[in-house]
Amino acid sequence: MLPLIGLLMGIALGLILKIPIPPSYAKYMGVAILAALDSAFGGIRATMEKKFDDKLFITGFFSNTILAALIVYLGDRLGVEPLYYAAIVAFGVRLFQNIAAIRRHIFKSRHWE
Amino acid sequence: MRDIIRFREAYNWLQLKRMQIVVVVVCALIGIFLVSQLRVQESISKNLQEESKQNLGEIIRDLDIEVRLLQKEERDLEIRLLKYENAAENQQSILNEAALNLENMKMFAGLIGVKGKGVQVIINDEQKFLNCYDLMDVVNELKAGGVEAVSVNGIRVKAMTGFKDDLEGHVIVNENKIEPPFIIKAIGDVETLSQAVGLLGGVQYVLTSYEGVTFEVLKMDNIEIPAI
Repeated sequence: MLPLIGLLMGIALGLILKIPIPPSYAKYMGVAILAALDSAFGGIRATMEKKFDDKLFITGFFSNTILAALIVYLGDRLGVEPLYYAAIVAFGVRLFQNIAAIRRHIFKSRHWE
Repeated sequence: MRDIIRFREAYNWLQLKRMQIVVVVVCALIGIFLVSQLRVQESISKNLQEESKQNLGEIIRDLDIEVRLLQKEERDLEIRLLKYENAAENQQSILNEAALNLENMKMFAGLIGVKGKGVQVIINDEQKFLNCYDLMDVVNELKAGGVEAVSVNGIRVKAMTGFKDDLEGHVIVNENKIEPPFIIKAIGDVETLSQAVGLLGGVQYVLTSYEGVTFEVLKMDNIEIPAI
C-alpha cells in the first residue's frame, strides 16, 4: 500500500514540478529509470522473501540508477554506443527475474501451486 | 524486563517507520523520474533529432521532392518571363519595321521630302520634239534602277503621277505644264541609276538620236526632292 501511495505522490509531484530534462539526457534518464524500477521490484521481492534491508535497498537504488546512467554515458564517450543496450538488457533481465520471483512468491503464499 | 520489551517494541516500530519512509521516498522518486521522462520523450518525438533513420530518409525524400517541384516552378516562370520578353521584343521589332515601311511608303507616295545621293538628268529639246512617252521612258528606266524618289522639273513623281501631252505639244505632269529643258532628279544608287539610263540602246541612246535633243546625266552627292 505504502509504495503505491509513494508512487502516486511522485507522479503528482512530477506533474506539478515539471522538471525540465534536456533531450540529450533523456537516454541516460531512461536507463536510470529502468534501474530504479529494477531496484524497486528487487525491494518487493526481498520483502516477500523476508530479507528486506532498507539500507541495502536505498544504496542499491541509488547506485544502480547512477551506474546505469554512467554506463550509457561511458559508452557514448568511448564511441561504444551499444553499451547502452548492455545496460538495458542487464536491467531488463533483472526486472523480469524480479517480477517472476514475485509472481512465484505470490503463488506460494496463496497455495495456488 | 518490561522496559526492555517496551524499548524493543519502540525500536522495532521506529525501524518499520524508517523502512516505510524509505520505500515511500524511493517510490516517489521513481514516480517523479517516470513523469519527467515521459514528458521529455513526448516532446522529443516531435524533435527531428530523435527521428528514426527511416523517418529521416522519408523527410529528406519529401523535401527533395518539394525542392524539385519548386525548381520546376522556377524554370516554368523563367520560361514564361522569357516568352513575355520575346513578345515585347517582337512587338518592338514589328513596330520598328512598320515604322520603316511607313517611311518607305511615304517616300514612294511622295508625302515626305527626300535628300541624298542620286543623278540629275538634263534633257534639252530645242525643237519640242519629245512627248510625254519619252519622259515616261526616262522615269521608268530610273524606277527600274531602284530609284527612291523622282521629280521632273521640280514636280514629284509618285505612284499615281500621270504624264500626258496637250494639244499644243506641251508635256503635262500632274496637271502642270512643263517646258524643256527637262530636269529629272532621281535619288538612289548613283551607279545603278546612271547605268539604267545610259544603257546601250537604252533611253539615252534613243532620245539623243532625235534632232536637237541633248541628254546629260550628272552624278550628284546631294539632291533634294521636295514633298508634293
